[in-house]
Amino acid sequence: MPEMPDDPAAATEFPSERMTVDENIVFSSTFQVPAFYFSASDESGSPLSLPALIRSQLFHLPLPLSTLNIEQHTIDLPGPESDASPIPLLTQGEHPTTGRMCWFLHPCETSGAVKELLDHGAPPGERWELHWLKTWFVVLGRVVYLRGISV
Amino acid sequence: MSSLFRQMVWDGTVPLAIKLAPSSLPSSSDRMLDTYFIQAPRISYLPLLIPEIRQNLCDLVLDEATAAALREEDWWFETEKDNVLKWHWPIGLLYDAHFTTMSASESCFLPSASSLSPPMPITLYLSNPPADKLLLTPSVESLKSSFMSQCKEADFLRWGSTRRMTGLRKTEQDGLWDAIREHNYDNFWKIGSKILPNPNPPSPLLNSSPPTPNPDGTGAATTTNDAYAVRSIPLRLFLPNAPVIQDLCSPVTQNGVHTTLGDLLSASFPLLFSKGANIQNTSISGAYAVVQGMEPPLETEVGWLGASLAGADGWVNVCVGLRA
Repeated sequence: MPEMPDDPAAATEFPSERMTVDENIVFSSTFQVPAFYFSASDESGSPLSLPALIRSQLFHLPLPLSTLNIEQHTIDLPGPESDASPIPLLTQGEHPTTGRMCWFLHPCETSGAVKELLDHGAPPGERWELHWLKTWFVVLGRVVYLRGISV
Repeated sequence: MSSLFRQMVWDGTVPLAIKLAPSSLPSSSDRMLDTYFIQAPRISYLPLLIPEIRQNLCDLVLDEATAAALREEDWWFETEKDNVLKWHWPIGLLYDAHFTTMSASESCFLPSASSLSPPMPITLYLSNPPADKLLLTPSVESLKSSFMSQCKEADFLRWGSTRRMTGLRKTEQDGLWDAIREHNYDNFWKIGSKILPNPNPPSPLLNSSPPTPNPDGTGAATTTNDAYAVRSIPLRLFLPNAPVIQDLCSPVTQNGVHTTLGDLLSASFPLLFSKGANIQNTSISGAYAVVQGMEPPLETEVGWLGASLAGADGWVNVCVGLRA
């Protein structure tokens, strides 16, 4: 496994390669919150590997890559003690509607992050669901590059 | 009583008839050896069968050079109707879903549930796996990861947190998976009993369940493993050729009685399962529901299903089919 720079933006392996990303927001029945599902392929249509994805411009993680446990099939945060189970961040799963295999950001921690922002923010001037969803996008935007990539 | 059903679920097997795809066979293959029959555990997964299939089918059919060059990560399985079989679905689910789907097609009239289960015909391809339908990185490691995800989701649905699963030490989590690989019931339930719920004797009273004895005296709600105290049963409904349905499913209705399978089915599919005037729900259109290869009576309580007929990953998979 090659050394990965801590800041993904500094990676130079994919400077101008096009990738096609299919992004979906799906309501997770289990966690009762929206979840971000996506799949990505390169110019030839082959699916991109997870290490390649995490180094691409799609993600701008607030954590250095060296703190994460990056495997071919999952990315997690090592647990607090050496024998504790890891905390999943990015895993693969079945898209709830299409049944296709996608990557998704684990919604487990999302609710907590949204609640924290809501607790510290101004009271909503609109329906709480809309306010919650906007806050969710803020949380998502901290990790995933949501604006269109401009050259 | 629950351990009887847990043992039955663990020991449950289904017949598979595995055939190598002609396109995967080079001309030097022995085509006399056609199909390999295997009685596979319901709670296991297709990729875990690969070593046995390799030894008993591929090594015999293919010439030495081809057999040695096989890459197991390129293997994939399909049913007759070009339906790619998902690696991360338990074999029992693949089997039940296959036959309930078959039952719904007009040209097929399957014998009633009481007759012997037919083998499920599967075609094995040795190369060019379809990238988007299988696990994105087919390997036993990613299958294990998927299994753990399912366990955590089930844990979350039951209790609103994944504390029980994440509270396990890594060696215990690994132990769950190893027990499935080795098909060891005792090893599995030694750890499984910490996270999977226990059913109570059926009772319409909400507060009839004794809490699990807790030495430090904290509230029973934090330590109970009562199947009827869960928020929601981890349960999925499978209709032929449709997206999987998963909704919150409380073990207790608003009236305080235990939710039955009939309640759930008539609420989810009112056109297939009608709610009768009395307690007993009836299926009016030949629709039936299969769990672990059995058709539970519609009065079966879902709380009990969650404790006794769930798969190793904690999920109750209900396949709905139609019978003439």
